[in-house]
Amino acid sequence: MSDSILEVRDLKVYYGAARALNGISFNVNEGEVVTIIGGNGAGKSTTLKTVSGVSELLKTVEGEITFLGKRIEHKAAHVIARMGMAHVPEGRRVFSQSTVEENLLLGGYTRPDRRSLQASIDEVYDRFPVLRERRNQSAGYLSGGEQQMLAMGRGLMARPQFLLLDEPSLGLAPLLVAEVFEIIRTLAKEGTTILLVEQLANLALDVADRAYVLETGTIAAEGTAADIAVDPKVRAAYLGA
Amino acid sequence: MGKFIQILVSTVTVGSVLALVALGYNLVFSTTRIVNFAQGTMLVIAGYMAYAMTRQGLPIWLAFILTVIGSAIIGMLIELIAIRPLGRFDPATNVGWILTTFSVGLIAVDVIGIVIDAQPHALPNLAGSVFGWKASIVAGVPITLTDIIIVVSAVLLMFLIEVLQNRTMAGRAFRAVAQDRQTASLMGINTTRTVMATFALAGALAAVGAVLLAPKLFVKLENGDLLGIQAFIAAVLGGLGSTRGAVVGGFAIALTSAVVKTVSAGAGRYEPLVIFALFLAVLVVRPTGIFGTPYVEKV
Repeated sequence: MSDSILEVRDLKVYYGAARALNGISFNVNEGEVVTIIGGNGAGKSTTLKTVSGVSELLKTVEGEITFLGKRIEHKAAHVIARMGMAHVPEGRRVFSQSTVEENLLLGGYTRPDRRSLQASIDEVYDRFPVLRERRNQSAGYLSGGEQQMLAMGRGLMARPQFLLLDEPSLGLAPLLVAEVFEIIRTLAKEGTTILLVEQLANLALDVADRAYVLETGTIAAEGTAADIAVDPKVRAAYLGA
Repeated sequence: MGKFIQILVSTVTVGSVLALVALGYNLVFSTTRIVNFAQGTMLVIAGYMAYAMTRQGLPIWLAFILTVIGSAIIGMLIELIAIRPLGRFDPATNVGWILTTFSVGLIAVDVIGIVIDAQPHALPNLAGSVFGWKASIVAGVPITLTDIIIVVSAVLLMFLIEVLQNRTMAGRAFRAVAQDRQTASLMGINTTRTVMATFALAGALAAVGAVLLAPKLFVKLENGDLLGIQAFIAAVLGGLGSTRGAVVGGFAIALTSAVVKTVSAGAGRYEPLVIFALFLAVLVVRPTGIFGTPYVEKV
């Protein structure tokens, strides 16, 4: 596949003697939004963290992860980030003692063209106007929704070729969840390649092109988002129908 | 009046250097959440390094520059030998670092004693060698150029570090690593190298402190315990991790010890007692130190 951004083959991760991932395979093509849905503890976050290289279990990884044609399963997180992958982690993880603007600057840490960072910051402010108002505040004082916007803006600052979003709806009020997904939809329309992990399966399937269903470390179903959304088993287990 | 000036001079000079060394503890603590108990030893190593070079005939200013570089390398070695092998550990539950940092410190002091010698030494006066000025007498108390250089360079260095931390990408990256190492690595920051750089900086600060204070306190093996522990107390008193805290803590300790020493000639032996009493009293009232913020686990 020539336009493949990410190719994961037979990925196994061990947590002590237990397997957290039982040999999963999936891929993401350029310009696609792919979602991994599944319940608590299915291994969704472990998958993303293994791909971006921050998993604590990295030493136990077996299998292949290919990003932009290069094997990365044993590369350090900062090296993978410099290759063009931006991971917006679960729980936002903003640098709470740094200001909003400093967080965004850090998002652009890998960029060689540091002079144009300010222009990118302005783009992020246009996308998330609330961040502009709070640019000089410590990120720790932002609300949960604002922190999610900041985390996503920080990810975009790297001008990534591939964006990983881990549970962007986590802990947000319904109105804010809708807002966050509206932003994901916009990013998708602009052609951003996204791998989205989300517990709110209906929302995730709505923005995604393709989907994988992860159950206790194994891929239980895969297909176009539209097909998965009408799959009776998926509907019963994850869509409350 | 004379005693007052004497206390003032001693407080400001010794306090500045303690603050510098305390800053070394702070930097390392910020990025690693460990206390580098070999920090005091770095002072000793730097002092003897400078002494050994001047003994070979090097001018003191050159010895000073080489010592700062050498001490930065020693700092990195300490990280490599005493910290890195522990792996990605949680410093709160895995306390191996207490032993490893103490051990490299003790071993290094013994090695110096064997390789160079265990005697106290005077270093040529750095300030005098550059500017050739001896002293002015104020109210019967000599104020030397050394005193002024100590204060000015310590203040300048601390100012520089503050600016670097807040205004440069490297400084922002340092603070990012201090807050959340994992997320910092997602930004593309090489966190291993950042941690190593903080050890190098701590080593360099110790070298500056050692050479600056040599005209007042000599170069001797006991300085590691003496200054190292006093600087550690200064860092904790001010609030571990806070630059302002390091300055205030350093001055508080220096003031206390200057007052105790000045009250009567024989009172010097009460110096540690009074310092530790002050330390305990402050921590009882403010357990996180004067400027320390309670370490809150992020949600």
